[in-house]
Amino acid sequence: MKEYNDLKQLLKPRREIKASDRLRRRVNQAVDKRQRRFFNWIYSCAATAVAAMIAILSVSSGLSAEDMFRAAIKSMQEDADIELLVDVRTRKIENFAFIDLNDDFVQHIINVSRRDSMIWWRVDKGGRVAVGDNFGTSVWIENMNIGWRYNEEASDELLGYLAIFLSPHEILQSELEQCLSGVGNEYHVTKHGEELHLTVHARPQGNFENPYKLNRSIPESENERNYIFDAETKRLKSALVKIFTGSDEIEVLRISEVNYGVLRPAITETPSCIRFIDIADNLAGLSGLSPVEAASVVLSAMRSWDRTVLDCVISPSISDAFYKEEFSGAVLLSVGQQFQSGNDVNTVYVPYRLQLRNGCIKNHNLSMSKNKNGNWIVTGGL
Amino acid sequence: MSKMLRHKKDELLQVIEDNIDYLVRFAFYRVNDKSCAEDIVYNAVLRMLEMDLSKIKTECRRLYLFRIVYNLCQDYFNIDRINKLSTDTLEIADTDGDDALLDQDEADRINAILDSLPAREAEVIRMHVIDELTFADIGNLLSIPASTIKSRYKSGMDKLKKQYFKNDLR
Repeated sequence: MKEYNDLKQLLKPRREIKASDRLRRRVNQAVDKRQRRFFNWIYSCAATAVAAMIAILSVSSGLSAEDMFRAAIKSMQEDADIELLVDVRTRKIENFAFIDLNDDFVQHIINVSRRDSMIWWRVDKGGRVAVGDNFGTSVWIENMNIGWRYNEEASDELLGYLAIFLSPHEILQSELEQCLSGVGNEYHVTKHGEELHLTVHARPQGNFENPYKLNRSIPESENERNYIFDAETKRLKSALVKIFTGSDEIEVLRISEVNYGVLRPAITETPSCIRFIDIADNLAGLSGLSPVEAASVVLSAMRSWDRTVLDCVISPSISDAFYKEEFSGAVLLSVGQQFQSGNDVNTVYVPYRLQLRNGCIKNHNLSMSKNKNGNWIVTGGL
Repeated sequence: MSKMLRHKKDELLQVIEDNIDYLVRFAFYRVNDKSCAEDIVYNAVLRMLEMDLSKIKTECRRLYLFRIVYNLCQDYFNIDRINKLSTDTLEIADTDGDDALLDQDEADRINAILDSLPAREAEVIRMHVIDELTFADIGNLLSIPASTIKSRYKSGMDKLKKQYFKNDLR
């Protein structure tokens, strides 16, 4: 017991940390301001653009702005265990954000368990599985017996648009928020009997001077998102996403089932047969080079599998598991001019042409981003 | 209506005022930066204000604030720190330079001791010893049974004990 007390003394802060006067003032102001804003918005929004949008919502849905907002907030408070079956045009082994208009539908099973603001989730698309909670995230590819772990919650980055279904209770609220922030999307809400239908028409997000990333994910496409909620509880009942390409309109995602109250046992359990590696943001990267120069250095290093270069830009465990077999011995034939595409402003793509060890020619775009030190690392395109 | 609002505001303000020092300390020992800690607490207050408080029992509001601060601290390490905080919060805290350094040294000292432990055990010890939260509070905060919290605490303290006597950290 004495040792415990000694330890506690050792751990006790010896400096007193207190809120500054400035923080206290800001908090007081915020309380005043937010109360004014909230109630001004609810009760006297006649003359604003927000009011115009809410008026449209109110007319078409038969719900007042106050009803809508309160209902959205109410639904956010609920704890829930949910299972969703979501079909997406993609490939089983691909990244969760990836879609391809020419692919067939692949069923994703999404399980979410939420208590207050804590979350446990699992997304299984057949070939690739991800699980996570507030502390970390694991992804694995079963038939390759390999997985990787992040010591952080990374659902948005990993799942792309699918991440919205980890918080189905927030969809209505977040779409309303976007409506208020005026991002330019078109919204329409209608009430059909016991259902509330929300339709969002969105333009592709990002820069598509080079269309490489156009229609490769839902946000990077012109899309229409249709959600159906229970009018009473505001719980999500189904969803459907269509993408518009020219005159075509292609269904790329649909929810076939939403089951509330389904608690998947061991939701974040990872299989023991998978070899997991830790992904840390500690790659040294390449400094002092343009993206094209950095790509040339990396791709040239593949010929002799030069680890002094490759280990700086790709996690060694990843390169060993996924790339070494295919790319070692490859000869760089050419690199093109870098370009950017899509909504990831931190990523540049460098076109390349490689002759693989087996004689095949590979044309692709190396995707590179800067790490926290501002040095280039490889983030895809192999 | 205005009377009801006033009451709601006063009640929440009281909870915030009673806990604001604890919340800043809580955030500070996680992000090691007083200015960021204050931004996080401010963001937590904003989030709390956006919630439907009628759904949260009065006695639970304190813990909700801690939970939001805890989650924001987690987010802080997740992705782009600046973007995660709303732009109207990016002010510089009015801390004295020397004080800030001493505070940071102290956070480094404590975190260095806890760094040797698995994250979950370190978190429980941090919450219990530094943040002065009860095991029941920690259990509620992390949505984990208090018995699990206690066993993590014991396991972590036992590890520190071995290390402490082995390396004599004092």
